[in-house]
Amino acid sequence: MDYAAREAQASSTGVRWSPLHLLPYWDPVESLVLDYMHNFLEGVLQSQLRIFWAIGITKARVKSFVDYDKELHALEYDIPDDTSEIDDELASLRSDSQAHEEQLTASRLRARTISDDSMEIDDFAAPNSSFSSASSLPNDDTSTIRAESSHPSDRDYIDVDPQPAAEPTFSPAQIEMIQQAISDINLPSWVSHPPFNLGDATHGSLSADELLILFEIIFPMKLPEIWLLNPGNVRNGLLLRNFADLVLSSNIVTSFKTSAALADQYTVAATQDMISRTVPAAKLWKSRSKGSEGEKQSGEVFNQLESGEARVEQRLLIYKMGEAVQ
Amino acid sequence: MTHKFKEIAAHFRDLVLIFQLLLVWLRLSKGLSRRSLRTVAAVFRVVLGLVGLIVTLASRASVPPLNAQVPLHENTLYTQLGLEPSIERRSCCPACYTSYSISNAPPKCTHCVTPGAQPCNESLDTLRHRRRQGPVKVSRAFYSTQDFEAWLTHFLGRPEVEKLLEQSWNHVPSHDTMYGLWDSPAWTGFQNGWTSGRHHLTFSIYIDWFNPYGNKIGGKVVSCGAIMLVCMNIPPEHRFRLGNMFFAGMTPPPYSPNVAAINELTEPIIRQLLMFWPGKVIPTFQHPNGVLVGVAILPVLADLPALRKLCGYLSFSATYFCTWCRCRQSDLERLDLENWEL
Repeated sequence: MDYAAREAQASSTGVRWSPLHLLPYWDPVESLVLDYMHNFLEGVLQSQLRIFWAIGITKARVKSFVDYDKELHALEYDIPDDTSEIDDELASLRSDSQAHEEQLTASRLRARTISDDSMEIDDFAAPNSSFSSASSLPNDDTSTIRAESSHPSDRDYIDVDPQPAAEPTFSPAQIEMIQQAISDINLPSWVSHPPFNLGDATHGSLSADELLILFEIIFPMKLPEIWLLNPGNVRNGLLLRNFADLVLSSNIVTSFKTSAALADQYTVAATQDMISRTVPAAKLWKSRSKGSEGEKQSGEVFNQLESGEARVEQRLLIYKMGEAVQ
Repeated sequence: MTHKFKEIAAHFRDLVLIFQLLLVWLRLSKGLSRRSLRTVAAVFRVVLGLVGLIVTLASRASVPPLNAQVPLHENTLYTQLGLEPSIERRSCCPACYTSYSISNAPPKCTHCVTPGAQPCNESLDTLRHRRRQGPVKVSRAFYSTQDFEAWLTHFLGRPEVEKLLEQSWNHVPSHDTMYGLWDSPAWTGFQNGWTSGRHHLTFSIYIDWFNPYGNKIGGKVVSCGAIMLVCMNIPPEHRFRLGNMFFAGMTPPPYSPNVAAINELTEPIIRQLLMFWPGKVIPTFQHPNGVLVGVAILPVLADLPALRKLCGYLSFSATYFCTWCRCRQSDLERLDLENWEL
């Protein structure tokens, strides 16, 4: 078998040769262990904190949202009444801007894919470069986009793209409450204390241990209180539900004991967490493909919560979380 | 009177051994520098020399001269005491990681990726200037592996190890709630309960790459891989102590090998392990005449990229990214678990 055939086989089946297959008892599927430090603590928890909740989101990412927001607003006000004098310019621009736009969309989508899928989310201090391709547009190009985006055929493009940070999950006052809670909660001296200025770029990237402490000890003590200050709010209910699922699944994953029943419970909680991440209330996180399973189900959750079941649901969740923590 | 001197002469070797152990303890446990070690060793030499001289003079040369001495150099000390692990060092191709024995390595790599392909042809040697010899031909890269059998003999020769291992052989798994690996179905169900057989050792294999210069912004990026085996039969609190882990090999820096080349590096290690399935006779502390010891590898511990490299799966961003199911990259948003094809 030559090299090309080997590669073709690898990409069609997803498997390559490894000397481990020499061992007669080797089971290539059962023998793998997923490390929960990289995948759960630094993956799931970190993306919840920094992308979904936008606490300590990278500057580049925020900038790209803000730039995009500006562009959208510029659209609404900057369309001149008299278009005759720029018509020629428009015509000449349209052809190359079309190409540019496609390229831009592609690069944005690629940038999202890279930053969402990569194993480690970029450091707080070092802004992520994957978004810079989309955010650092030269000045003369902005007009191109404006001209092109004003074209009605481009509405779809705007809908698919990540929405700007119109409504962050936590208000500055709420972030302050969280920071206060971090400094108020006493931890044993051998437990690493998360930074008091959580969300500030100066504390650098959080270690897996600090993330665990945040999500297992500090957030369950403070966040339900923040969200229940205004219990009728549907959005808060959704956020609480999502958070409860996350805490439940992280408690199961990090526990020193397990059983088949707990594994099933984890599957349910983790799936629910992923589904409720796409709640319409959270503008920062949008499903990559429209009409995906997650979006459909989160719509159902939304309806269910709106129809008065929210209170009962919340009580239940708080109880469930307490149980999991013990 | 003479037989007393003979007795002293007979114990002279023990005296030297005590001094040697003292030196090793000073160096390894108390952090004595190499230079200070030489000074201390020189003092010991004077003392031992004087003892030898006195014994010879006092016995009026009826006992043969005592000339055993402590070495001045650290490495000689370890070799004399048999503390050095047995490490096989081979010349290694920097491109395809094929290894050759140092004494008769060809000038250029002759390895072919596939039977019909062109040979790799990467030059294996480079000239390095030495102060006295001038330019000397040395290999560009080395691949070092530790001999598993030698390590296992040393490991099982330690008095406390078999007591620790017995805990796993005598462990009764709890059925409902699992508290560790020994309770898991993967452990109890492996080859019809093979893991609880006496002198059956189950290891986990670990691989990851690290930067020996530390990760600094703007710093040099060098990738050096460590392949380690951890004995899972030891209770968890002792499992990851340095003395209980087997350092199988270190992949040559500065790059981490690609998916094809990693096989060249892991194969010698796997072949060593293959000799212990179903078993091989090894002397242990409780069975000095040897007992049949079986070794198996059960879990692979690694992060996602290393796991894929070692086990021959595609990258986590490939179309078939999952090592368990047949989901594709485009199915990443699918959450209907019951429809996943496992």
